Amino acid sequence: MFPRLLICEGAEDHWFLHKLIETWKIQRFHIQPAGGNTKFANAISQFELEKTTAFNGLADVVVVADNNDAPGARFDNACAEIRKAFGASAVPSGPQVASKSKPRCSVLMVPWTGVEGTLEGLCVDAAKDADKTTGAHVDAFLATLKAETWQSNSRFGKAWLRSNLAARCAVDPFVPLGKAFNDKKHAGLIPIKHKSFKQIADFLAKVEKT
Amino acid sequence: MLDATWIENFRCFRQLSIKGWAPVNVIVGENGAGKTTLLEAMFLAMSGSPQKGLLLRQFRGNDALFQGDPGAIVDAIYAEFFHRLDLGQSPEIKLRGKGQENRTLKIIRGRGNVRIPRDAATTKDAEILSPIIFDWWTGKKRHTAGVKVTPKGFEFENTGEQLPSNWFFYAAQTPVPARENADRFAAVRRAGGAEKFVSTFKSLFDWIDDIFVDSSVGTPVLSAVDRYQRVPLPLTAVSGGINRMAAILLAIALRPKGIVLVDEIENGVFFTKHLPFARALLRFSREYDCQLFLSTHSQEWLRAFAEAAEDRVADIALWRLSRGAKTPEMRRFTGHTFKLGIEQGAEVRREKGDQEDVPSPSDM
Repeated sequence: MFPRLLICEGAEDHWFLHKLIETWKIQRFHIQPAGGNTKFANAISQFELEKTTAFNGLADVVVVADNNDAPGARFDNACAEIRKAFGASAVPSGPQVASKSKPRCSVLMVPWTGVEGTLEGLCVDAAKDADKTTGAHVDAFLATLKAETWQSNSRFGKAWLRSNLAARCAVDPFVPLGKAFNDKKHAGLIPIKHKSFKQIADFLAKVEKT
Repeated sequence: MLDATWIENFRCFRQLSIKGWAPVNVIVGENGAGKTTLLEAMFLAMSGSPQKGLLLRQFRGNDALFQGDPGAIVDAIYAEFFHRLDLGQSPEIKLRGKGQENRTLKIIRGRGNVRIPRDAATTKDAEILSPIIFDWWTGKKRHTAGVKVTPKGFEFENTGEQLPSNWFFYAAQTPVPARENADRFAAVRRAGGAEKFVSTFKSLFDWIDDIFVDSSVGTPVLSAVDRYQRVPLPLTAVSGGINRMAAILLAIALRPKGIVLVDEIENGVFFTKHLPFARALLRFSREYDCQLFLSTHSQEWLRAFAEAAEDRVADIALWRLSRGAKTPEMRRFTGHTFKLGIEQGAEVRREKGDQEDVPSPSDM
């Protein structure tokens, strides 16, 4: 029984959070992928319907959402989903602020509050530090593509990480991000103990104590 | 409209307390969890004669022919209503609501009485009042009805109350008699609701051109005219499922503010008809202000029902019965949760174990 529920967007976020919690020795959460950022409320309802006993004992719900290129709008969207699932009193006043409802609800924005991007962007520094040579090659490659002119941190992060993983994972250039975190064959592609993930791990560790 | 139900010592229920019935209630749960028993309990409490108990027994497939000592037969018929067949623990069913459904039924096994009618020629004409007594309470008023065992057989007493004629129970497997549907259609027509019923039914089955009451060897039957063959056919001859769907919609349309209980609503309904039938049920329920209690095993039907509800889910509740350690347990979910969960592909019919919450790589 874990009285904490993490609702994330997709399966890859699920794997990332699972590995992060395990590696940083954070107390366990239920993790429920929603299948998209407009389906957080549905996922909460699914959890309620399928795990009633666990749902009744729920103390904290954390919605984990990507900022993409519009952090404010994406936070508002996460709040709208919380309102749909639990009502207006459960809506938090800002990212990483828990509401005073039961269960307490909070929103964790990825890569971090107010920072444009996604989970892929958050992983860039960890992947770069794990293999500096390939990292430099990928930087050069994206510079050649003039990726900075896309004016999208979110798409830039995705392109960078996808190129990096393809270059470093010869056995499976399409290696899914989730497998990169959790499959022993791919250990080291993105070291989850990297400092880039510390603030998220610290936030989740704080939830267990509230 | 029913708001709450308390059941004690009735069949599998040692105790069950339900508060917060919605206008439309969908009941799920595994076999033997008590879905049928719950509907039966409410139906029995809404009735006014022990004869309905015999009817429920027949709905469950029990024979209506008996042999042996009359007193023992009566005991045997009603014993199954007692929790664990313990005749010492009286079953009690309390219904709480806003109208005549506010009533309580106690089934008591007391001592049988022998009554000798004044005009009896011999003691063989004596009537035996069975030891099973049904007591209905409405407030402080008691209405008693028993089962008499006479030389001619059983006689079921009636409380004599004027009970509403718009409370119905449709068992899972029992066919709906043709005459019953014909009578109800005639009553709906007299009340001015025939056109709505016919147009709804035609939209469910596009081959139906018209529906009317016909006569078959002196018995009224509800018949449909086939648009293509131009032949009127009794609905019972066309399909048991269609006949049942018609019966349920007619029961709702018969009089406003009714209560309709349907066990296994999906029975006899082809999968492509789940959605239009669910839409018709919801529309009729709302327009006639009829409270529905629908049990189901079908996820397919639940999905259709959630889709049919669209955004109007405030009057719907999903109830899940599960076999508790000592007695079945009932959990309530709002229509909102039901709808959102279904959209996410949730398995709403049973609670999943609290397992490792990591998907397999094949989920990715």
